[in-house]
Amino acid sequence: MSAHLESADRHLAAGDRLRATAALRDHFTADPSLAAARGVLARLDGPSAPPDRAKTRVWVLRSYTIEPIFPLLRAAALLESLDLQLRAGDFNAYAQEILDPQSALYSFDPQLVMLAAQTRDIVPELYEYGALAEPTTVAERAASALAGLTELLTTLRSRTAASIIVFDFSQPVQLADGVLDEQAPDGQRALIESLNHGLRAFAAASVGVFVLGFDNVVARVGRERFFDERKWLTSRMPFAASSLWPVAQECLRVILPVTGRTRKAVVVDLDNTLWGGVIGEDGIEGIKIGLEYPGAAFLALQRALLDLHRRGLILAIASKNDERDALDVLDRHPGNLLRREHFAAHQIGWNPKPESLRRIAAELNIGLDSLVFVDDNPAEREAVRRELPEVLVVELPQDPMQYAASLRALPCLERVRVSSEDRDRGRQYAEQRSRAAHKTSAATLEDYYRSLEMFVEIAPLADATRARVSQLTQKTNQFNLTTRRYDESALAALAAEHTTRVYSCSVRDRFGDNGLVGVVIVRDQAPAFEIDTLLLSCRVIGRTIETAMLSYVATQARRAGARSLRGWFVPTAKNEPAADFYPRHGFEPIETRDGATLWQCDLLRSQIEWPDWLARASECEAA
Amino acid sequence: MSEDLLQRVCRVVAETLNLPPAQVNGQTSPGNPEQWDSFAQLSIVLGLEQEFGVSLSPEQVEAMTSVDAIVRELS
Repeated sequence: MSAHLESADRHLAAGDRLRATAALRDHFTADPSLAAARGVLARLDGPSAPPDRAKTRVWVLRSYTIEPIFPLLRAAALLESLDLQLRAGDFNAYAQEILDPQSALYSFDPQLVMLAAQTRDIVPELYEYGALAEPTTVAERAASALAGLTELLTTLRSRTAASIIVFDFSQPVQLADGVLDEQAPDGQRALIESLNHGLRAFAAASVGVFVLGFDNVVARVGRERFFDERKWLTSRMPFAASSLWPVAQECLRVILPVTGRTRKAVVVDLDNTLWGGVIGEDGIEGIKIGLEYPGAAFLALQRALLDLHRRGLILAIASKNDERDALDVLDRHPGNLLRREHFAAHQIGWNPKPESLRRIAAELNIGLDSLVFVDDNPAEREAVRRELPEVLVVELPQDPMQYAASLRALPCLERVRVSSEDRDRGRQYAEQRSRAAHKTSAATLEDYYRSLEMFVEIAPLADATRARVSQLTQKTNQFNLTTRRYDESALAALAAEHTTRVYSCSVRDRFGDNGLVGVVIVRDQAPAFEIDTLLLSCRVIGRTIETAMLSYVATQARRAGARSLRGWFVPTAKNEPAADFYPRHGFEPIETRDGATLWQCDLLRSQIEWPDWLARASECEAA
Repeated sequence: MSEDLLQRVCRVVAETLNLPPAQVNGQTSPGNPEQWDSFAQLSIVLGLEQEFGVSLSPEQVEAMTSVDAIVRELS
């Protein structure tokens, strides 16, 4: 038994699931095999599994035998605290299952539907029998296959609120016409590409439909190695045993961001991680970073980090160094790609790394379980693993040339949508630093609020805001009264109900635009209005924005003739900052259930004033 | 050596069928226990291919009529 498994068993025996999970993650990452997956499942899935673990029901529509990836996918997801209930539809019956409203697909009530069909199943002529059909016939078949597929997906979209993930179509190992096909703008390869292009265009124009780059997985593994034609012919299972994990991993890379199970920040070490060498010993001229080997390996890591920054992840530094020396490299070294402004926080000094990570999490106002830690030093990694099991520690390979690849492969850093807030996040954290500096100089809290010159806009959910609103419901943990998670499809369905209103709240101030930072969802349950969700991004906690949102929905409720406004507070491990929200605004407790409390406020007697230091956008007043 | 091989095969079969290792031996075979159905056969083959880093031919898979037979195919 591996050392990781033994350690996991020790932690499980001591009741420490967090550390056991971290040890199992190391065990599985070292060798992601079916055996390792079963080892994980035996430990996390047995009678010791917490009964309150939220489950995600996944229905897999497929044209081939795909079940062998299930243990791998389920184990890897459990290690990310995602409990997938995977069900495969009948073999090659995806069309019937989608078209029959009574099918098991719909009665399963999935939260996620995956569609895995192969090129050869949807257009056989396109995959292996090219020579048997006229070229024009093949092109027609490809076009009608795409039309048929988008029609099926449209039906599926209209019948379920689940998020939908569709595998794209892979190229064959050899083209029927060999290199001749590569010359043709409408040959076999070009037609498969246009099929995939059509699929992507359809997904981009739909709500909650995402593409899984199956052909890219095949290419990464190697087209000749990926498939096992004998398995296909005997078991209708097209993958080789060694391809099961790459396919499962790609599923996870899409499922994690679709379900909002991602991490927010990457904390990096400096010496021998962000650059080669030790700044304190080698000096700014001696360290290795730039286009030439060996500096190129570190530049590749910086490029990967910059890509993550653009994707909306937060970057931070935890380094044992002289702060001035280290920042000097970021400011002045010509070979460096990352500059000081790319980092939202830095802890450069002589603190132990776990302490630095704690401080970074506190400064950024995010949980330790949102952090990914990158450090070349195994001892530092071990220290963080031991003290902060919530942090994901990247097991960097020995060779710095492989650093970038191991960071890019992490499913927990993937995103399927990037909002403008994500793109601007780095700048917003910089503005936050100047706001904090400003706070220390304002005399009273009210003066401080006024001095911020805040401008608040509350608006009904729109197509343009749906992705961001969904993201907030999935990622906000602290100021969140009920912590109800809504993916984009669920949100669209909710907004379509005529008794439900979904509002987003954006905040601007003299330091810049905070973007869309609040969500409130209310249901008209005459004679009361009930708050289903009220949440606020940690970026703007403590600035009375929550009072503005409450005041706004109270006004809406009064206009609709409601006599009272009520809402549940459901306590979690993290939403303490919102615990006094209802009592603070004059609500009375009227019911408790499973630790949650229902609060109510009489709208005839209580006003819930809009804070007068918050300016309103015009749409807001007109509503 | 072949003792070791038998143990490894038994472990893969037991893990795949979700059985205690003690319930799997050389005579364990498809249909006995009943969990060892045709889908489990595919999972066992994939598990063996990963465990031993091999690719098994349809003829070899056909010949795998018991744990002992699997050991013979892999020796």
